[in-house]
Amino acid sequence: MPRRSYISSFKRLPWAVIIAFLLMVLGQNLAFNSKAFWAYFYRNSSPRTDDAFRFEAVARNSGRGTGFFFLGASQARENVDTRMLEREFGSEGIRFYNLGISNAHAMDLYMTIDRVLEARPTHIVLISDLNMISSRYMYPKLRPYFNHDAIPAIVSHLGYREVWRERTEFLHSFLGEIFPFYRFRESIGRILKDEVSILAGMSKRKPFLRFAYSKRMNTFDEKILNERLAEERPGRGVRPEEVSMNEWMLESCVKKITEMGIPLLVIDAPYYPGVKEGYFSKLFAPYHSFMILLSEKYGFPYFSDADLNFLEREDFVDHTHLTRSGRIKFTKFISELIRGQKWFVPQIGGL
Amino acid sequence: MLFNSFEFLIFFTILLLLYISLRHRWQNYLLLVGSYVFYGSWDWRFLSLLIISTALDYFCGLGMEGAGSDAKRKRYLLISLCGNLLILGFFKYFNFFAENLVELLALFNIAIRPLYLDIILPVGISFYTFQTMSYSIDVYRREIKPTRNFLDFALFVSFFPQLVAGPIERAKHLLPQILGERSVTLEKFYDGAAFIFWGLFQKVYVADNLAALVDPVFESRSLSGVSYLIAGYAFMLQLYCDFAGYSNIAKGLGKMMGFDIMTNFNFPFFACNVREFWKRWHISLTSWIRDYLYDPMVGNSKSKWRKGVCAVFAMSLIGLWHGPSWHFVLFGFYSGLGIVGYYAIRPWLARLKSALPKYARAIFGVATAFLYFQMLLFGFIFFRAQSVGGGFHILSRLLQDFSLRPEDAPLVVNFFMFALPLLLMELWQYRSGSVICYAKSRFWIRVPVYLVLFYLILLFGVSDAKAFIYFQF
Repeated sequence: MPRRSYISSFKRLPWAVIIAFLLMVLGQNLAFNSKAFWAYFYRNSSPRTDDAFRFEAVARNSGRGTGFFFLGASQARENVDTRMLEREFGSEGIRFYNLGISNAHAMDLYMTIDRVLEARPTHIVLISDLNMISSRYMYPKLRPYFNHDAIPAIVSHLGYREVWRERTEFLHSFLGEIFPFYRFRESIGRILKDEVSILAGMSKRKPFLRFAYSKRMNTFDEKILNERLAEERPGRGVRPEEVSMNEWMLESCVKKITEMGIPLLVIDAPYYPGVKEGYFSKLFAPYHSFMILLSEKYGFPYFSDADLNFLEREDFVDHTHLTRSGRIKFTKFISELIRGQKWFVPQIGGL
Repeated sequence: MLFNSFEFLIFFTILLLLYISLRHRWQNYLLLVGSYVFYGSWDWRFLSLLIISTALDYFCGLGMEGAGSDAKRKRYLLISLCGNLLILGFFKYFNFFAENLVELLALFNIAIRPLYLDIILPVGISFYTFQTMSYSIDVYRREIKPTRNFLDFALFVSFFPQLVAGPIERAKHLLPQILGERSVTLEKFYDGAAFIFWGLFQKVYVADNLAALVDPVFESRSLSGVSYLIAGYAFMLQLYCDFAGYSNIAKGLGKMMGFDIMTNFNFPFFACNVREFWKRWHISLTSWIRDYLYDPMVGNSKSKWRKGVCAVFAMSLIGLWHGPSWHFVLFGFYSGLGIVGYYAIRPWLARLKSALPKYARAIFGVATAFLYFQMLLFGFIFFRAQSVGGGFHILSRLLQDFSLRPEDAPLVVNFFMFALPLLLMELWQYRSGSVICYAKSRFWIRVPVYLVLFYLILLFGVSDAKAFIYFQF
């Protein structure tokens, strides 16, 4: 008879591996609960490349119950000048935190909303965007924002096949839930590499950027945009059930916010005037209808892009991001809403 | 199904659980089915090629045993060799030979229409073809007896840990392990796990990260000499870790199931000369070429010229084995010339070394290893280049504009970040003579080593399963 290893003979456990593994898990959790870790990595992170990490850092270090949280995509991050708002309202003890993340989708919002609400913001401003609902979700983005609560929603709307097709991303995302470093490995890894480079005297520390700065001048070429839009497929490759899922997810977030009694303001991301004509108008119409329905149902003020007509063509660097002057105008619009206490008045449409 | 994928983890876990609960005969059936599932997961159509190759050598082996005369034995050997080489030649080299034939005839003003076939290269074909050919040759030489059980022989050809990227096992080493009872012990399981862990570290931490560093440099045509130099070093380590990583995983998988798969790499970059390097690099291929090609070609000849020509020819064939392209041949040719050159200066080197005081000999050894590493670089540049012209272009760039620019900083930092842990571990392994020395060390050493390796993989390991380079060969 050959010698066999039955389960009962597996007595000598690999204790060195087990202890190292436990130390690894413990080390990550200790780091994640230390202020120094977040302060260091946030200081050395960059907008765009480290969005997910910065989102977590801001949500953790915001200080509970003291501030306005801006949620949304890159338009929230780049078009809202929180420093300008702090200059205006700082003396009143109001703080502003920009949690805008690149290509934010309704699914991202759905997965991170609990994280946001844990930080107990006093107000939430959502810079909403057509792409939150009418675009396909990019699953490689799943890892840093993952929350397993999204899976039942995906399965019920899109079926098991969707999860199976993207199984690799889901598996990596689960790993990120177990190992926090794994979730933010891109950012942590890059920052550590940069640090090595700085320590070796091969590069200099980059200045801290609170948000991605827009260009001063408009360098936007309308012709190029129109050419690009002409190439877009009708329906943008989004299935109706995907749109329905995205709408359900967005509504769930709104419901959670309003149930907690947190005042919510929704403003559409500004769009370059030329974009809203023609092709995009077909997409905007159902989106606007949905947002209006939502605002009526949950009683939050909603300002559509039609209310942002104070922005001119020169205020855009591309079809949806603003120049510095555009950002000032847009931020001023928000500060007027806050100052005029119109925030709490449920209304649809303009001021 | 890549070794570094979740799919493989699930596949192997199920297979191993079934394996340890079965008796020997059923273990072999399970492994055969598992191997075919594994190979079929790449492209099930090519399973037929694997089965044809298996059947061909199985029946030729039996034919040789039953043959009444040496002439008949030789006939069976030729059938086996021709059959295998025809399959390999058609799938791997057809377009290469057709293209070169057209160019050759064009030199004599004979124009023929080029024939280009859109052939997909079956994964692992070079590996299992060489493995089955070694079986036929060994049976012909009466070094082994042919296997009577077709399924056992099929498992020898298709054993999944080493099927798609080697090591190219010899029948006299692997077949007895398939035919005989195997023991699966806890020690073997842990040793196997240590091999797998180290192989994965080599792949996902070193090789895949260095690939991200190497590829843009080799695709660019106007960087500084320093960039090309670092990318050249990085490529050598990438290739080594990619292939040695695969071999270590294969060895570990085999060990867990009670098999002893041959060592394919033996710290090649610690070699002090070209001869030693090729004894340490891709051992299963170089020893195959030595035993079945070089030694029969040289025979009993004492002629240095004959040995030199045979060495260059054999090394060029090793180059060609890697792929149907002249830059691979040039890589082999360069290595062959290196061997000839080394034998020419070896007496002089030996005299020089013996004349040195004892302490200086160690320095001499390190210096020659370092110097040889630089010489290897030129060969590997041709290996990595997409063409011979591309290789010469990089060589020319390498020797000019040798200044460190600020934009080279990320390249340098990344190179050292991924090469340094490897170098430190390899030094330890080399000195102890075992790849898994880290798993055998004292407890208080093991814990921090594991911890560091875990963190490096967690933070920097490339998580998207990338194919191993040698799959394309």
